[in-house]
Amino acid sequence: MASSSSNLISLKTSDGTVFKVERALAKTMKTVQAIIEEADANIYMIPIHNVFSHHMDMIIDYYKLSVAGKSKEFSVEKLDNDELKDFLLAVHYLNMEDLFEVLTQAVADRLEKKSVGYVRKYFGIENDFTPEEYAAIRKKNDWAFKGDDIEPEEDEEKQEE
Amino acid sequence: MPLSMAVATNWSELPKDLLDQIWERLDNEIDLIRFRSICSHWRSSSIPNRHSIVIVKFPLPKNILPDLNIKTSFCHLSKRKTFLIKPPPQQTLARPWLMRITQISRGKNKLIHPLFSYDSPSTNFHLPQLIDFNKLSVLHLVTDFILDDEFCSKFDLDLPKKVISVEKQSLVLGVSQNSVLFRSRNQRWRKILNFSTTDGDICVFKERFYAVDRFGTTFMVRPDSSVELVAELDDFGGNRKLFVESEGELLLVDMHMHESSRLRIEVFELCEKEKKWIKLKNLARKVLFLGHGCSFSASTLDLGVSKGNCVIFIDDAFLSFMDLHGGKCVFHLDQGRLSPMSHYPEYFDLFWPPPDWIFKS
Repeated sequence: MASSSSNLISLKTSDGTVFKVERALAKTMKTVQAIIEEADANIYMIPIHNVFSHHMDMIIDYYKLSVAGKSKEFSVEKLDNDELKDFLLAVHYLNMEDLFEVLTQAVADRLEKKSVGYVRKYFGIENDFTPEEYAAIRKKNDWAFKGDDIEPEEDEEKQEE
Repeated sequence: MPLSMAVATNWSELPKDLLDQIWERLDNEIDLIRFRSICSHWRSSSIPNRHSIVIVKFPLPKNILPDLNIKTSFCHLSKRKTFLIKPPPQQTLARPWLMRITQISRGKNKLIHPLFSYDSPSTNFHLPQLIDFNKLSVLHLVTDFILDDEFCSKFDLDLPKKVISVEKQSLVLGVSQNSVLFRSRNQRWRKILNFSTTDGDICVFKERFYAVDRFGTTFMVRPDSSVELVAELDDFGGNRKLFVESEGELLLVDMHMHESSRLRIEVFELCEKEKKWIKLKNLARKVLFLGHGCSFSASTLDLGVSKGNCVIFIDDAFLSFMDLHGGKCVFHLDQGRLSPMSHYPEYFDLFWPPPDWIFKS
């Protein structure tokens, strides 16, 4: 049976799980929508790269909440930074506007008021500036390197110089 | 169907268009500066602070709080702009609107009720509808700087009394306790000696700093921090001096404020050639506005009011001791008389609420 005549679209995640989702939900994924529209023949199953089944679970949760007018109840608080990043990349790949805004805002909220040292530590980012570059940046904005709410080991920044 | 390779992308390797969506949501300039210091990819993916806010680290007077390990405090200056919004010429009975907004972060503005002190908690107002400023006749009256305590030290002893800035040249002048401090770019603060601006004022005029003491002695501070005498008053005059810029000229408002006697105000115009403040007998169509940390002027024509030659106090910065309607008053220079602003609805109505015609445009 051609899937285009039914109301469900089949999406296969990277880890091999197949999700049958409503056409309306598939429409919120611009990447998927483009694939459906471009296909000559009826699509049987659409693979979605970089999207894992646990991402789809959250996507479906968000969809259900937003249909019920409760999108504000959706929260990614329980995700750690790396999980949030992977989810963000998945949603970015699928090109889902609303959910993408929610996630980028969640990242911005996690960066808010944190010191440079903290962000590097908890987001796993290395300081790849040369010592001269970094010294110049720090000199320009010296005060911004004093953390506010949360400060990891202060020595960390001194060591880098 | 082959499994796709999971892309193990680090935070530092996120694509630029994705990073754009993140840093553009950072609500304040300080976080943006930190964002741009994390790694080279994040730095190159973002645009630096466009100076809508000036961050200034202000030195503490040494005798304050010696036990605490605080060497300097920093204050977060926000630009506050005051505008006069004029009705379209066909609407003869419509009144203009004097509006004030503070830029709280890049691209974001907070509307302030001009008749309240800027630090009063009730000063956030929301407009009932969207206003399209592109379609309106907007006259910019003044841009001044207010201290935002969000990022300041917890002890407000540290806050300087007034700080002004010429951003293009990264110059900052601040007044703290009894000293005037000057800083150029990222150099050290320098105390400009032998000058007290207590009961005086500082301002930016034609991209130069000016400072006046309570006796009317006025100096200009050059970008290299050197100081030049520009004018003096013939006699010391009153006990409070303020700068107001009006129609391209720098004016000095000299106030005699004593609890026991009537308020007296005299206005002077700067004559740089003779290094003197020349008394103005009449402001004619000019109206001067004075408030906390700011002053500006407008003409009766623009304001749509009948009478000029007066000084309007828009908040409780100066006259609170006289307990006249929270300090909001009109001082008539021709009569030397002070009245509450509520007696002059044509002035009172300039401020709030926004007139109807604005929403209909």
